[in-house]
Amino acid sequence: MKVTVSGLAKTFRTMDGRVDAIHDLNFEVQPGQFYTLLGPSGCGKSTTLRCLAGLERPDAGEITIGGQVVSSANVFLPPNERPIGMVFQSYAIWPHMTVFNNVAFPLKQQKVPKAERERLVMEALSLVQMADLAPRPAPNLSGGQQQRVALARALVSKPQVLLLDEPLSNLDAKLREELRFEIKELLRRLGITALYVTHDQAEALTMSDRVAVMFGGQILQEASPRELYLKPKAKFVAQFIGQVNFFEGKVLPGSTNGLGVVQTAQGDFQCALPGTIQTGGAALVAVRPESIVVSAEQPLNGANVLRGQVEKSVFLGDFIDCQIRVGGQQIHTKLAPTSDLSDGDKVFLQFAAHACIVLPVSD
Amino acid sequence: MRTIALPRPNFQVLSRIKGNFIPYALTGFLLFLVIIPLGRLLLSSFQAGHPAMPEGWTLQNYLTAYSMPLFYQALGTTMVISAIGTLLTLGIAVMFAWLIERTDMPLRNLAWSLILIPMAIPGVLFALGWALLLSPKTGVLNIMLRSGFDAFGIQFTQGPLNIYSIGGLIFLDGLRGVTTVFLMVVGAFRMMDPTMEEAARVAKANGRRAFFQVTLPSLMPAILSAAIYSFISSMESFEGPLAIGLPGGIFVLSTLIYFTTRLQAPLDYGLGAVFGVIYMVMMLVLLAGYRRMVRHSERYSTITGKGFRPRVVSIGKWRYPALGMFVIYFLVTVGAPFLVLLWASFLPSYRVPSEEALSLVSLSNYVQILSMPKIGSIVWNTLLLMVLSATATMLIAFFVSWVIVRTALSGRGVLDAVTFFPHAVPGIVIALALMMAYLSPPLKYLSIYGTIWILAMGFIVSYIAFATRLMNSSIIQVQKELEQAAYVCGATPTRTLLAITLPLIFPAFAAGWIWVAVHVLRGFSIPLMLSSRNNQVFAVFLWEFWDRGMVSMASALGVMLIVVLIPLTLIMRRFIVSVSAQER
Repeated sequence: MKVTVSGLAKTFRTMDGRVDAIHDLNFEVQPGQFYTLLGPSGCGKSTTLRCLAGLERPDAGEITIGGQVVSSANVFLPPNERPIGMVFQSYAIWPHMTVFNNVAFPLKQQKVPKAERERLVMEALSLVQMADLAPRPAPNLSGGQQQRVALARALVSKPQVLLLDEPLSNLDAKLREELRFEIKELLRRLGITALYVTHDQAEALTMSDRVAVMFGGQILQEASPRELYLKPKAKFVAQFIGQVNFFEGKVLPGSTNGLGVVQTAQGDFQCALPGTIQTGGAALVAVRPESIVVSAEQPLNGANVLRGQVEKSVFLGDFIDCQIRVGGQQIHTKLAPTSDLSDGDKVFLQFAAHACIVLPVSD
Repeated sequence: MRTIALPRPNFQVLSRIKGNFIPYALTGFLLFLVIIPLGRLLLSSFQAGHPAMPEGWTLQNYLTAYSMPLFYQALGTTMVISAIGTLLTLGIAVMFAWLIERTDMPLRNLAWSLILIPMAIPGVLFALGWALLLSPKTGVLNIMLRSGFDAFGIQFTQGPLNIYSIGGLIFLDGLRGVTTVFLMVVGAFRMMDPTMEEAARVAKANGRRAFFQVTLPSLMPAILSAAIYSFISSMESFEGPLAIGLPGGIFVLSTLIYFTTRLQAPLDYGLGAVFGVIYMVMMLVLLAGYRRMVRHSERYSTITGKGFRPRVVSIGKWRYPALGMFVIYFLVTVGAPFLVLLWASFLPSYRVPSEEALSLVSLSNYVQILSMPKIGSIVWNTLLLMVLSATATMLIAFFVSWVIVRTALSGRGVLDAVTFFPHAVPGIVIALALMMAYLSPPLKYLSIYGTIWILAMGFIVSYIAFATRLMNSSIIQVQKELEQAAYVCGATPTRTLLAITLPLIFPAFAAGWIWVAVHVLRGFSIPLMLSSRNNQVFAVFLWEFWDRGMVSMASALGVMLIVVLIPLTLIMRRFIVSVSAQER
């Protein structure tokens, strides 16, 4: 089912005055898509999800689910009348019920006959591999098991849209990775439209079809995970997703074949210029650590070469996070774990023109 | 894009009310229960004649009260008894809270249970028991004292002690409230973080300085708020003054109202209303002070930590004297009055214990009571009233508290105040207000006066403040997402409340239910004010026997009542423990 949000706004009144949680928010989720709202805490992503669920009443804007207006200036469907399922950050498993009764609750509200209800509950529990724990009281479950029950409960009544509010953030790292793939796989199989809220960029990149990066109550950029990583459109997006080195500079006039020159304190860089960048103005060059080649000898081709000195290396197993001082700036690079550079070594850094992300300064 | 939007202007309001019908309806009902009678009381205080047939507006009632010496006397007596009684209560309760929670007094756990039992003895029966023990001529203790003094050649014709005096009332009042105050401060003693004391000791303070400069100040808010609470209860006290004060010609405000509107000839409702209004205003001032105190104590209580064992202080050679004090306290509040009532209940008519009297002992009073034709309807009325009042009070409180705690309804603050406000209204005033409201048009036509329903309304209004406080704090502890998950699962708010929230706070709900049930069974002021032939309950039945001088029958009924109340009170400890375990 398609979900559309247009012109959504929500302001909270707090003791310190009014806080704009979200402001003129617009996006569309295609049927069957896994759509993620990604952002730091306080960016408005959870408020957006709660407006979709009907747990908050927006101040302005319209929300439609499957073509039906569920929230607008003169319509507000309460949560219990929306075709949704939701998984909460705290799981919200009712502690006074068994696993079975937790999952059966939505069906009871719809007055599904008992035999049918039992079948559907067991089906949902099998989906999350919890069928054998059905009679267990809910408090006797581990965090991961509780999250599976929460998922089964959200799916049991076969909702058209599933809302997930940081469902994995209370789990330990290993379990989190396991469940990431499990949830994605399950939702793909069911063909359900999912809206996922998280502050974890790895989660967003690995699970989503589309990701919207939010900050200050607005969407800064919406794209596929790959595009978001390779072609961020704003400084915040570039630094929120993955690690990045910034160079402030000025775009020199004239460009050929989409290549231009940006003048920075570390020298003139050859960069691929996106059409949106004005030549002659200030710009920011962003380079990912893994795009930088570090070597002890001077490279033969002269473009985008910097001289530096290794300041600090941190061995992280699958790579070495090597910090190199270039002029007045510290630059992060990623080296193979077999690299034998040591602190104090003089090195050369080089990166390709198409590895440079040129961003506008004003953001 | 296809839309199914229906541009109806009132849709939002309708959809909000639809799923929330029960909470909002009960909120309206509560406002009706509280505001209508008290408004009626205020009107009646400015009216001449019977409230059903008012004879115009007047200030005469206020002028009468203003020029009435008995009124000032009653006011003064009320103040004196309450002030001294509260100090007594506070001293005893704080001492036992400390002994039981923080020292190595023997049998502390048993003492914790026993200290609840005085709550099972209705104020009237406590007073009646002590009347039998300390009446000037025939009181058992007075006779023993006289024979004791006689051995030293000092002779009294009566006394030496007289319960029918201000001293007697202070004595009863001081002991009556100990259980409640104990329960209010014992938590503070238990929850006090011992590391605060230890920190003081490490900072070179000696034991006594640590106690006076750290321990006591940190408990002060809890003790002060308990003191004001106790003072309010003493001011509202009706049963002791009824049983002991009236026969001795000593009036307090509550009995003055009872006398003016139920006993004297002719009855003067206008004057009673004036007393009620003045009484209520005084209580409101006290209550405002109490709320300020409580805000303080909440701020302090957030400092204290959780899940530690309080440090137990060794009191060495004082262990057994401490236990002895507790035994004396228990004998005075429970043992002696209960035994003397038990003794009286076995005799055809009351006699001082002697060998001759012993030969008259029989169960004939009990047999007589159980074979009365109307006992069935009285017990039925009483049980019905108990179940009805406790259930209605707790359910209303639950739903109203949910509206206060969870919704964004404007005017929640006012609603919260309305639920707390009846705490300032003495039971006797609530009963008077209900009487006036339901005796006069238009509510007269509901024909509620004289039924069990008006009694239930009185109890609901009386205990709604306690019940909403309990429910407010319980509902706050239920994580919001647990309710929201139910909405998203398709449940309406009302359905969510019944299927999710209520089961989750059940221990607090049950504790509140039993608390209200116990207070309905032991309450005398509301039934005495509102009773008539068809809605007689146990308390009124008992009082009528006593009033007609049939001490033995009244005692037998009292013993039966206490025997029912004791287990109910003890069950409450289980829930108190589980409620406080939840809070941690």
